[in-house]
Amino acid sequence: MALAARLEGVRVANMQCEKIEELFSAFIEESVDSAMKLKIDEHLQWCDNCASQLADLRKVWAALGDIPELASPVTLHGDIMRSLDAVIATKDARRQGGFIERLKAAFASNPRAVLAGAAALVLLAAAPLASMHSTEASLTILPSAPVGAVVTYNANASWLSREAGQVQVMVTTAAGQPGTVKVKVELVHNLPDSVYTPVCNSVITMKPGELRVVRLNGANADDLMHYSVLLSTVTHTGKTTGSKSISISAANTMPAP
Amino acid sequence: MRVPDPAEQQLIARCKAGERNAFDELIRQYEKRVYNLAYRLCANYDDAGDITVDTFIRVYQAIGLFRGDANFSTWLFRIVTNVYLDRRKKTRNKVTVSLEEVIELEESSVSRQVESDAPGPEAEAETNERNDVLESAIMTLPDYQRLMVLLYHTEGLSYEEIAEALSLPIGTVKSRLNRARLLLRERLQARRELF
Ligand SMILES: [Zn+2]
Repeated sequence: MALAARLEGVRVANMQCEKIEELFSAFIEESVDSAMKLKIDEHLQWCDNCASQLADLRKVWAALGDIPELASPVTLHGDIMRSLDAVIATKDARRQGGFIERLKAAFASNPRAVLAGAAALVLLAAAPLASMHSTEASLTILPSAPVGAVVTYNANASWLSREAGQVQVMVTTAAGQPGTVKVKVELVHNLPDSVYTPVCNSVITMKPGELRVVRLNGANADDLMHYSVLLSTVTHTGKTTGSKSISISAANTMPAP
Repeated sequence: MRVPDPAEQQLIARCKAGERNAFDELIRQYEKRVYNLAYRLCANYDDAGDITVDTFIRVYQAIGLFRGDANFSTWLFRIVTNVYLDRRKKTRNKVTVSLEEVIELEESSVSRQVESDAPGPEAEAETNERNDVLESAIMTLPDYQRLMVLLYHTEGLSYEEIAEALSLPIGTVKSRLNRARLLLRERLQARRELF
C-alpha cells in the first residue's frame, strides 16, 4: 500500500514535470501568468531534475544568441547576379523576340548560369491573370550538349472542370520535336505574398501536340476553388537531347473561371 | 511586428519597377543572412550557395506579389524555406546528417574561400568549441525544428513572424520551439561543461 502510494506520488510528479517542461520557454521569457509562475517556482524548489534542466536550457538559450555569422564565399554575389542576369535576359529577349538567338549566345558564354536561369524562369509568373482561363508559357529546354540545340515548348493549360479537378494540357514545339514530354501539373497556393507551395500534383507523359486531360488527384473542392494550377516540371525525353533528360520548371497559373 | 524601414520600402519599390541596380542592392543587403540560414539548414557549402542563388531568383520573379504591409525579411525567409524544402523533397533518400558527419564537414571546410573581412582559415579553426558543438547539435534537429531555432535565435524573427513565414499557428510555433530547445539541451547534455 505504502509502495503504491509512493509510485502514485512519482507518477503525479512526472506528470507535473512534463507539464512544466512544456512551459520552460515561456517561463524563461517571463510570459507565463503570475499564478503559473508561482506554481513553477514552487515545483522548482523541490524538483532538482526540472531545476537543473531549466538552468541548462538557459545556458543553451544564451549560447544560441552568440552563434557567429558564417563567412560567405567571395563568389556569392557574382553568382547570384549572373544567374539573375540570365533570367532577366531571357525575359527581355522573350518580350523583344530573338529569344533563341540570345539564349544561344548567353548559353555559349556561360552555360551553367543560363541553365540555372532557365530553371528558375519558372517558378513564378504567379500574378493571377484576371480574366483569362488559360495561359501559355514558353518553356525552354537546354540540352547539356551539343550546344546550340535549343528546343522551345509551348505549354497551354485550361480548366476542363475546376469542380472535378480536371485540367486540359497541351505541349507543343515549333519544330515538332519527337519523343515525349513528362508534365507535372500541380495545384499550388496562389495567395498574395505567398510563394510556390504545392497542394497536390499529377504527372503525365504525353506527346508534343497531344491534348490531354489531367485529373488533380487528392485535391478537395475547397482547394480547387481557391488555388491555381501550375505546369511545373516538363521533362523532354526525345532524340534532340539524346538519352539525357533535362527538367525545367515553368509556372503557368490560372485564375478561377 | 517591426516598423517598416522607409529606405527599404523605397528600394523594394524600385525592385518592383524592375530596376536591376535596386536588386543588386537588395541582394547585397540580404545575401549573407540567406547564405547563413541556407548553410545551417543543409550543412553543405555548395548547396547553401545554390539555395541562395535560387532564393534571389524567386525573389526577382515574385517581388510583384510582395505587399508592403508584410515584413520583407519574413517574406524572404519564407522563400528560403520553400527553396530548401523543395530541394529536400528531391533528395529525400539522403539520410539526415549525424553529429559526427557535421563535425567532419566543419574540419574539412577550412580550405574554402572566404571573404577577406571575415575570419580567415586560422581564426576559423580557432572558433570556439562550444559554437561548433552547438551548431552540430542544431544540424541534428528535425527540419522544422531546426528552421524555427534558426529563424528565432540566429535570425531574430519574432514568434509572429515565424508563424507567418511558415504558415503555422503561433501556438504551434511556440510549442515546437520549446520542444526543439529541450531536444537541443538533451543532445548537448554530454558536453554541458562547455556551456
Ligand atoms: Zn520536475
